[in-house]
Amino acid sequence: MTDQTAHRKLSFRILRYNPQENGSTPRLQRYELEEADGMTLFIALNEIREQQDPSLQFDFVCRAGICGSCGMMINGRPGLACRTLTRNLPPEITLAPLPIFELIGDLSVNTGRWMRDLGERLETWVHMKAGELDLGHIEETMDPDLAEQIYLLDRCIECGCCVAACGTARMREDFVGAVGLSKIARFRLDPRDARTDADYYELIGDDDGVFGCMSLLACHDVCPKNLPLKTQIAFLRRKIAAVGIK
Amino acid sequence: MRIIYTDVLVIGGGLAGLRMAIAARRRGHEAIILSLVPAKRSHSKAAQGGMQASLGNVIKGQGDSEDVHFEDTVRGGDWGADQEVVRMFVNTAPKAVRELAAWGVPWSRVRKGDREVIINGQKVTITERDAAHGLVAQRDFGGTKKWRTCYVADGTGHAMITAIADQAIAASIPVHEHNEALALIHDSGRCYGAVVRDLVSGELTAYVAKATALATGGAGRLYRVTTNAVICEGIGQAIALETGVATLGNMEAVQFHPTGIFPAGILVTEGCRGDGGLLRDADGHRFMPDYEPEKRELASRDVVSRRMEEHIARGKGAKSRFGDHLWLDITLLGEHHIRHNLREVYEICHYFLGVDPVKEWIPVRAAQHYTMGGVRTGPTGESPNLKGLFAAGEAACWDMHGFNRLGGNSVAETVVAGMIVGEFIGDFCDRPENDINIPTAVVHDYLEREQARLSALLTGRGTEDAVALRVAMQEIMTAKVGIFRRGKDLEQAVDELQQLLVRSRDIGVRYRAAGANPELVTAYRTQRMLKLALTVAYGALARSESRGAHYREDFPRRNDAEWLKRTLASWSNESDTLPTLTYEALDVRRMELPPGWRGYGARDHIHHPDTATREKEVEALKAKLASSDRFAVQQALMPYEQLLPPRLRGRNERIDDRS
Amino acid sequence: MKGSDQLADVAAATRRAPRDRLPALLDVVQSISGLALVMFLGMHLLLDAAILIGPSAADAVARAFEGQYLFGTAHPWIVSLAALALLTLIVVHAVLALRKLPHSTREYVAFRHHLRGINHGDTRLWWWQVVTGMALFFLIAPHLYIVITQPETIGASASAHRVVAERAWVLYAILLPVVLLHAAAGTYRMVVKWGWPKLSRVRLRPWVWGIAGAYCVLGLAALVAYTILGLRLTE
Ligand SMILES: Cc1cc2nc3c(=O)[nH]c(=O)nc-3n(C[C@H](O)[C@H](O)[C@H](O)COP(=O)(O)OP(=O)(O)OC[C@H]3O[C@@H](n4cnc5c(N)ncnc54)[C@H](O)[C@@H]3O)c2cc1C
Ligand code: HEM
Ligand code: HEM
Ligand code: SF4
Ligand code: F3S
Ligand code: FES
Repeated sequence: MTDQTAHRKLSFRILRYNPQENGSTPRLQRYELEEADGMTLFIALNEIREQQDPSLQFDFVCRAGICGSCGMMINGRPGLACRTLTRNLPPEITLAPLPIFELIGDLSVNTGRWMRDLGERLETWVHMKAGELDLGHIEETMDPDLAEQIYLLDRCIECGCCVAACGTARMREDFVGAVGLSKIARFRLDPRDARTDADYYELIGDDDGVFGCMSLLACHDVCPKNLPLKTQIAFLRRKIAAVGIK
Repeated sequence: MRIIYTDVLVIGGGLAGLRMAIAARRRGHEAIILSLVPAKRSHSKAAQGGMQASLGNVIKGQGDSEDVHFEDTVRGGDWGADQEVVRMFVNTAPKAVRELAAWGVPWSRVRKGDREVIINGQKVTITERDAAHGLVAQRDFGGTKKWRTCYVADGTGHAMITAIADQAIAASIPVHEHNEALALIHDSGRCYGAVVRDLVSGELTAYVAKATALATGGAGRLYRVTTNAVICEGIGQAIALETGVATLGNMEAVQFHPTGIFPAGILVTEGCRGDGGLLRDADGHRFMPDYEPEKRELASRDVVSRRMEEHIARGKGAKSRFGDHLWLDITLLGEHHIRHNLREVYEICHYFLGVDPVKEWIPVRAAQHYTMGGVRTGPTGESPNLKGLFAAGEAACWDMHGFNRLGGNSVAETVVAGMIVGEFIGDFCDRPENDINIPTAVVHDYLEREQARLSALLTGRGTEDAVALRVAMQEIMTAKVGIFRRGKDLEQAVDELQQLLVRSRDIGVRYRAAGANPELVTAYRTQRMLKLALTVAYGALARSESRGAHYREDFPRRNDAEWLKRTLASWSNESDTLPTLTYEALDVRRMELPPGWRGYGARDHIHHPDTATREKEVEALKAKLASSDRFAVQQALMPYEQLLPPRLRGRNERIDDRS
Repeated sequence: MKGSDQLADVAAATRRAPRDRLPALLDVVQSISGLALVMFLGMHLLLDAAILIGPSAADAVARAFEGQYLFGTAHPWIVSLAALALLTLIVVHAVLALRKLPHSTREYVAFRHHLRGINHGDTRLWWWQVVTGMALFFLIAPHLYIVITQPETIGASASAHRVVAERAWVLYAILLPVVLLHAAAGTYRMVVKWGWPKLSRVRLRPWVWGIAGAYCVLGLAALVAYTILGLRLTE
């Protein structure tokens, strides 16, 4: 962080388009900026907005790589802008909004809406076994390793990078994406969820679900949380196919 | 301009808001959640370390109970807390953890047998009991006598909000994302909802509701260096303040976290120190034992932050071109521990610093972290001044934290308050007299007022630059209303902030789109934030003592005789440039734990005249009930169960009760 | 995605309907057909390489498949029949694969656009699998046509004649790398798709490409051998 190299001139090409505004058309706009030590795209974009263009739209919330707000196409690849250090990028940086999701404006997309729809469609919550909870009682036990395994899949921040990186999702609007599949894998693993594989088959046993995945694996390669998407989708495919052909 | 009617309007989609909405929904009321961002992206997500609840599953938590949690919390808050509320809280926290466990939160679990931990820089082997195997585990956190903090690796808040937000989806609770409450609608002391701006289209809508619940989180962005997300701007508290009716409690109580990454301010969790991490200075010396021989790195946050600043002031900080900092050393925890239990910390160091915490030290310095103050509510979560307005979570001053909150008590508060206040909201909506009876004309007046304010910014001839004002405010707050406070600085701060506030009435924007317009948002938020900043600075100036996180160099002692009271700020008139401060005394005679020494930090507080009497009373009661169980003693000292909603009463089982 | 409130209803409706097993079946059949074709190709190229040992070896292999050693006389229609079966398999495989291709210009454009932007190896590989698959449709057809209609012309000299005099070498020289690329990509995909055998991609890649490469060398050598034989025959 204390590298004393002379600062580069960075050149940003940012896709501008505001669907709310009449007459707005998609175009690439160029901004120049002097790089600073430890500069992230979060810092850079805010500087551009504050000093050069107050109309530029983008989303940051946590600016720490944990909330999933700031997914965007960085030189063609989806990634979290807040934790992308400019020093790891060439001096020409092209930024575009994540495709597939509804565009709010410029770099801002509505991943929230998409994820909520996904949650409703795949019923991504623990379907508890019947009976009222007695909160006064000691909780049910769970194997410590299993808890960790579940957490590993639970770490998804719904940033949408896996969806934006997926060629299948690009072609097929209704494909649930790696995020959807990994969520099902997560609940499948959870003994608190009463659903069986047959239930999961109803949710993802078709070409919009696990059988639609063409194993392009870009999801796995871009996931900022390094979720084991490759193994999880494969595992799910085996289990769900087994239900189907039985 | 539209009007949407609902039973419960919840402003805020963080842990507190979601849990309140679920409670209300389960009681059969319709609820709508408003949020600036998708609910799961709320800042609750960022909580890493964990949630306190006295389950006592791990061996180091054996013997823990509501009583110990209660005392830790009251001490931590330097006796500023409402002790009845603390009691309500500690009794519900275990229930909250257990409910979340059933809802799918993958709490880290206890593994029976030996394991190695680091305590006070030493490797120690501890043996977990067979009976605890597979139960929710606890870790050590600052300011607690027992290991009490339940956690999910170091993504606790993330796992909690994922589970709760998914439950909200299951309950079909709509979340209106990208919507911002700009003003509360109220009439004759009764709150009826809010005027809301769609951040994408710019459209204004009035949400009219029987009950309005604020859960808008903290206000860290009043400061330049903060661990808080960029949306933690305190707008919820500000709009409550702007009603002129509701009050804000203890806004001067602002917590600084010892370990913000330097210079970005991104937090590395207290769990680092809880698990055995050490603080070192420029010479690599571990300095905390020199100042705090008993709790060392794990004294409460206000103490550690102050000691760090003190040490830097002595010239012991490591130098860098951004200023001085200290080091957090977790290398001694080992690669496995760091990569499994401190995964987020590892990632943050890796991505933002290019540092490998397994081998290298992490540059840290204290950063603004938590807003103890907020919308003042009673134990039911309702504002005492504005009927129908509820608040919970960081935005509220329910007042279980007093002047300093303990690590892990905040996410616990959000869920617990969500459960409790949600029930009271249910009760409120059940009562027929609380039906909505506001004339639409009043609603339209509010809509028009807000529209006019926006238009003034968009089409007016204002010349002030919102970003510049905001930066100036943040500098003032960080430099003069920070960890160490002095009367002279505070006076200056109040003066300068007032000037900024006046100037902010003349803000103009360059980009004049009525729809999505980040500059406009900055403009109207800055105007509100300045008012909030003034309540902090003015409250701090007035409070001539040191208590918890509020530290006055010119008044270093805690002064119970004069200041055992809660600051209440209100903004009576739109043209004012200062809040109106009033005070609410805390009643020592009813305290279960009369004011005393916290167990760390200074011992030289000035006593309240009633303390001695109450101490004797407490002693006498305890002696009299020596043969009774702890519940009977507690009941005699300060009955509180009647304050809880019926379904949340009752004791909490622990494994020690079983054997 | 559709509106949220409808979705809940849709979800409820599908829950009540009997389970549709077809998608699972199709996915499995696609892989099985692919696997069968890969195994066939592996065998085929090995046997084809018998020419490297000598014309008589190639003849022996041909006769063996015509049932000479089973029935005493050669029945070339056995080969025709086998080729027909294979054709069916390929058609099944291709039809299943069709579902995965872009269905419309919108999808096609979206994918091409994506491909260019993302710069991602495995995504590019899939695209090449699609391209080679389409090419195979046209390349395999003439080959199988000959095999089905003239099974009796299989054997060292007849084949060599075909390769040189009838210029079949052009077809084979294209077909060979194309089918190997497709088969290698397909094998790779099957392993990552089903997660079995448990191999990381880094460790899987050298295997797949190594074997495909070896086959390519072998096939080319056989083609050269046929060509030499063919040239000698025409002299
Ligand atoms: C980095 C970090 C780590 C932490 N770690 C811990 C920990 O380990 N343990 C612990 O106990 N506590 C921790 N805390 C504190 C704790 O996370 C927060 O206090 C708590 O999560 C706040 O929750 P909340 O529901 O009150 O608010 P938030 O989660 O902040 O949610 C606020 C919500 O209000 C919405 N909102 C805000 N303003 C408006 C408006 N005007 N209109 C509409 N919606 C609005 C936002 O969109 C958001 O949905 C940590 C805090 C930070 C910053
Ligand atoms: C007309 C000829 C062919 C066409 C159009 C075709 C097309 C395709 C396509 C598009 C795929 C990708 C499917 C997906 O992504 O899921 C595929 C997969 C595959 N193909 Fe072919 N192919 C043909 C012939 C062959 C031949 C001759 C072989 C064997 C040598 C073969 C072996 C495979 C294998 C192993 C797979 C992977 C199967 C899977 O993913 O389940 N294909 N084919
Ligand atoms: C039962 C069906 C088949 C028979 C009997 C058959 C037979 C042959 C024969 C005899 C040759 C040698 C050249 C010749 O005589 O023309 C040959 C070459 C070849 N065949 Fe087939 N074939 C069959 C199916 C296939 C299929 C399905 C494929 C593709 C997947 C294929 C791919 C090839 C290739 C690539 C060559 C060229 C080999 C080289 O260059 O050395 N064949 N085939
Ligand atoms: S799976 Fe990974 S890439 Fe996809 S949404 Fe979750 S965190 Fe983002
Ligand atoms: S990129 Fe897409 S096709 Fe499958 S493996 Fe990942 S979801
Ligand atoms: S802003 Fe939260 S992940 Fe980037």
